[in-house]
Amino acid sequence: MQPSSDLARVLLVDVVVPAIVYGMLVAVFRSDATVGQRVRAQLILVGAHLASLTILAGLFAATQPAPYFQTVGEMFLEITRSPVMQLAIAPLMAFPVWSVLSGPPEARDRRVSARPRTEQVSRPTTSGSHRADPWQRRKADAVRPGAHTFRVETRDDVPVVRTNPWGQHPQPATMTTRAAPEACPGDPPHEATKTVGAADETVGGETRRRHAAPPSDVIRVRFARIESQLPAEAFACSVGAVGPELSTPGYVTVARALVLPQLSEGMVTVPWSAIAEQFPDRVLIRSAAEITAHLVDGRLSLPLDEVVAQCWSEITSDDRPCIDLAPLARFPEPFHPATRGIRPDGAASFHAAPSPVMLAAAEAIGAELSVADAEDSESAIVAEQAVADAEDPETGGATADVDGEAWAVVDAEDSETAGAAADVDGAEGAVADAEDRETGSAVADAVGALDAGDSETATGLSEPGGSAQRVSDVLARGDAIVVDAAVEPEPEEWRPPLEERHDAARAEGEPQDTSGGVVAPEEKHRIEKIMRDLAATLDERAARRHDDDGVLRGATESATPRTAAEGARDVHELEPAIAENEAVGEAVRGLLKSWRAMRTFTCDAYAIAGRMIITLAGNGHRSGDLALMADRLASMGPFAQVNVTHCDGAVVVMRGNGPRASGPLVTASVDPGGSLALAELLCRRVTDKCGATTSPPTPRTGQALPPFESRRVATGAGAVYVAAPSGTDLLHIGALARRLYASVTALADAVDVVGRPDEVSGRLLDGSWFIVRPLDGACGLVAVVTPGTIPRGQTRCVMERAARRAKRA
Amino acid sequence: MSVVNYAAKQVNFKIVYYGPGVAGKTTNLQSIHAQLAEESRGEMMMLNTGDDRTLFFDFLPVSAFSVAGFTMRFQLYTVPGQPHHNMTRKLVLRGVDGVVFVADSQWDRAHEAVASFRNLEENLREHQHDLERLPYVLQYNKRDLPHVAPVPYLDSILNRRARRVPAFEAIATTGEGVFETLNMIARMVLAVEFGAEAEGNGA
Repeated sequence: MQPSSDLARVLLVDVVVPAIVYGMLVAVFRSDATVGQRVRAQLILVGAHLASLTILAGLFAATQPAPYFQTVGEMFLEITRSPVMQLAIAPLMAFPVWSVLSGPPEARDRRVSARPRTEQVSRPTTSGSHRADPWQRRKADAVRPGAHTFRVETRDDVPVVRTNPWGQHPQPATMTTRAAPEACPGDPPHEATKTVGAADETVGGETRRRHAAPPSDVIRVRFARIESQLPAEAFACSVGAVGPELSTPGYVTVARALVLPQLSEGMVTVPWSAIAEQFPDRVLIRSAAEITAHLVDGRLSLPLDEVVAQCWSEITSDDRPCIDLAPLARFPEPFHPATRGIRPDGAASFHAAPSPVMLAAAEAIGAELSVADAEDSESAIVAEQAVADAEDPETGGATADVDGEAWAVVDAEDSETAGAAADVDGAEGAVADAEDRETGSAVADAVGALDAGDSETATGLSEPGGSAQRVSDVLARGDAIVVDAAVEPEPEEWRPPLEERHDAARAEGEPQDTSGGVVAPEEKHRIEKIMRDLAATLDERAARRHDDDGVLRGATESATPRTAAEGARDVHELEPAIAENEAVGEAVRGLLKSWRAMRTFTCDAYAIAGRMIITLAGNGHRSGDLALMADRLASMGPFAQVNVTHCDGAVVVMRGNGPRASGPLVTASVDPGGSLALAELLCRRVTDKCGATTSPPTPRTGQALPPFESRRVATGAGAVYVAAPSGTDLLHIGALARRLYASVTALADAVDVVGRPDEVSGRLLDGSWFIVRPLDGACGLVAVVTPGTIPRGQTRCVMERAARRAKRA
Repeated sequence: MSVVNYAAKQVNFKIVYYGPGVAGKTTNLQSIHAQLAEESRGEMMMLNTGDDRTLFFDFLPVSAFSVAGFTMRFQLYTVPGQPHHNMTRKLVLRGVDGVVFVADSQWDRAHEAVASFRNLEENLREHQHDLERLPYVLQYNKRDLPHVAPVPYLDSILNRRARRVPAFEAIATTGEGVFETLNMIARMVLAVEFGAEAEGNGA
């Protein structure tokens, strides 16, 4: 054989043929590799092939007696005559270095991103290694549109219970509740977690952790899932035809670093600029700015399920400990369902036979409900925004002018919000607010009533013999903890102390009113004397002191609430006077009976300087304090009603007979957290029962505000920002606001019932709404007057606006 | 703060079901009310709008066993989940002893759950509470619906504090997971109140 022909044969058999064969092998087994990597793998395999031939020839030559190197050449030529064995040997030799052939992980990741049609989700493996075995890898990882199933890489010889954390239809039968402490997140997997941990699977009867493949640096999202967010007019073709034109056909890719920080937000969005370059220029016919303007908040929302599936390793790599639940073992499970499943009529039975207190709470809420039912929940937000938008940012200085245009905005928004105001059960002041602040206050009433007043949930706060204490206080008394299985019997039905006192008084043969309401003049004089004496008694009991100029001042020494004995004595002393009062005696007696059921309030009637004052005081307040305060407030200005809201509750003082001011004063307070709405409701009830004239009814629909003007009024104590209808004496309103607020603040210093007022509001005698509020963080007051025909909700809008303006000023 | 009523020999705890709108808080209470024995539950008050959304709150008092002769009573509240009712949520949270955070498990509700959880943290902060000390559990509701997020993901977005708290899957409409959640939060509240003292008493 000629040397040249031998060389050609060697080249053909040992280089060309192996290169072809290995190229085919690489193409089959490394279909996801790039061309360069395939060529590299091919060359390495060919090299291994030649190396194996040389090694074999060397081994054979060593056994021959002829000269070694000559024999090696001959053996080499001989072996290459049948290259099949070497073709099989070379890949086996290359197996240990297969990972080298595949390139570094980063290269693989980039490779995946460059080949969009291959599934790239992080694929948990069944082995403990983070690096997948290429010979175990299956090819079928292509994404099926619309499918969200989570594929589990398995080995054929290992039974695997497949989990489906992305499951479209989880099976309730297998859904288990992870009950701590056995199944707290992060605990070693067990049966309870087999359906919830995507990284867990049961293999061969035991659960073990699957590990995700190294993450890619990009996240791929199917374009079909986001195309609806893009404007169709932005593309030269239909949106459906855009997908194949993308740089990664059918997908958009997003940097993982951009996505990961958002995973904890429950939403992943990216700006258009992050994906814009993946769209060919020939497809886009609109600018980036135009497309961005079409997106919600200028960002594109990515389907969370697809994103999370590709970030699974980050999500499941959490080894934080659980809270210590061992102490719970001492307590049995408190509740056990008596029946399984929910009765179809369960909802209907929820409202059966509410307690009086619940009814009262519900009434207070019901008043708000009638508003809220009618109002558009979004309108309040829109209105608020509208007010804010309408504000003139240029306004400043000492004068906050309110122009007609700005108020027109208020008119427009109030027609939606305050237009829903309804006068429910005479409590128009309680229902007009559409703002959450007000509704929240109403809830505070209800929550407070339920916390303290429900017959089934009585607390020490509302019981004469009870007091609010922590459980630790009980234990501090030495009570050992004994967990009884049986439920304690219900306590006896609560009886209001007031009712008991009345019953006791009647049992003692207290003389009843037999005069028929006709009182002789001399008897009137005697009654007035009794009332004055009573007033003096009340003042003395309250340990109030007046300085020389008669201004009420100083804290009381007896700051504790009235005792039951004192209350009984008061009622006993007052009832004859009340019974003989020609105007209100009978009504007040009925009133007392009516309010016995509500144990969170105490109803009393007081006489201060001949003025009958009916008080409904929360248990945290003293009726005497409230009576004193009502007396002071009533003398402050031309008010038909004064409301004070403060951090310690709310107080309403109302003239029972309206402008005539000849009837009793009615006042009510609610405990801390209570709302003005409830206090007003109580007052209305009292005035109704006394047969008194109530304030002018509030219209049910909003009225357009008249032209307004505003001014900064300088008073001796500071500035008052006044907003009122044009033509109103703003100076007078400012002075009135200052006087009223100063008086209330002085009362706050003297009477425990009120703290520094958040707001003083009310109706003037002509029915106008009048609100005074201190400026937050600034010196001064804001006062607003609106016509009485305007619902108070609308007035509040004006107030908010004026306050903002004043704050800026 | 739990309140002791010596006259009635009761200890009252307040548990608030918190979460985004339409997550199933009211349904939880309905389920409890429907399945609990009558002697252990009080009246349930619901104040809903026409579309069954809670406008103010729901309230359900339930009673459990006795400790030292005192009946343990739990007042279960829900809050309105809509963002603009935050003032109401603040008020309902006042004096809370334990919180059940109810999250809708669906993918498209995850963001609302996160926002609601942050809102819970903020509102608690105003009441000088924080979730590091206040007992709370998570409930991933509506697990029977399609397109629900896997629990590990929900854990990753909601159970994010330094120490993880118990989380429960639930289908409130059928009652699954409801009592497990309630029992867990009730025991956690009891443990907070009685834990140290119980240790001291050797209980």
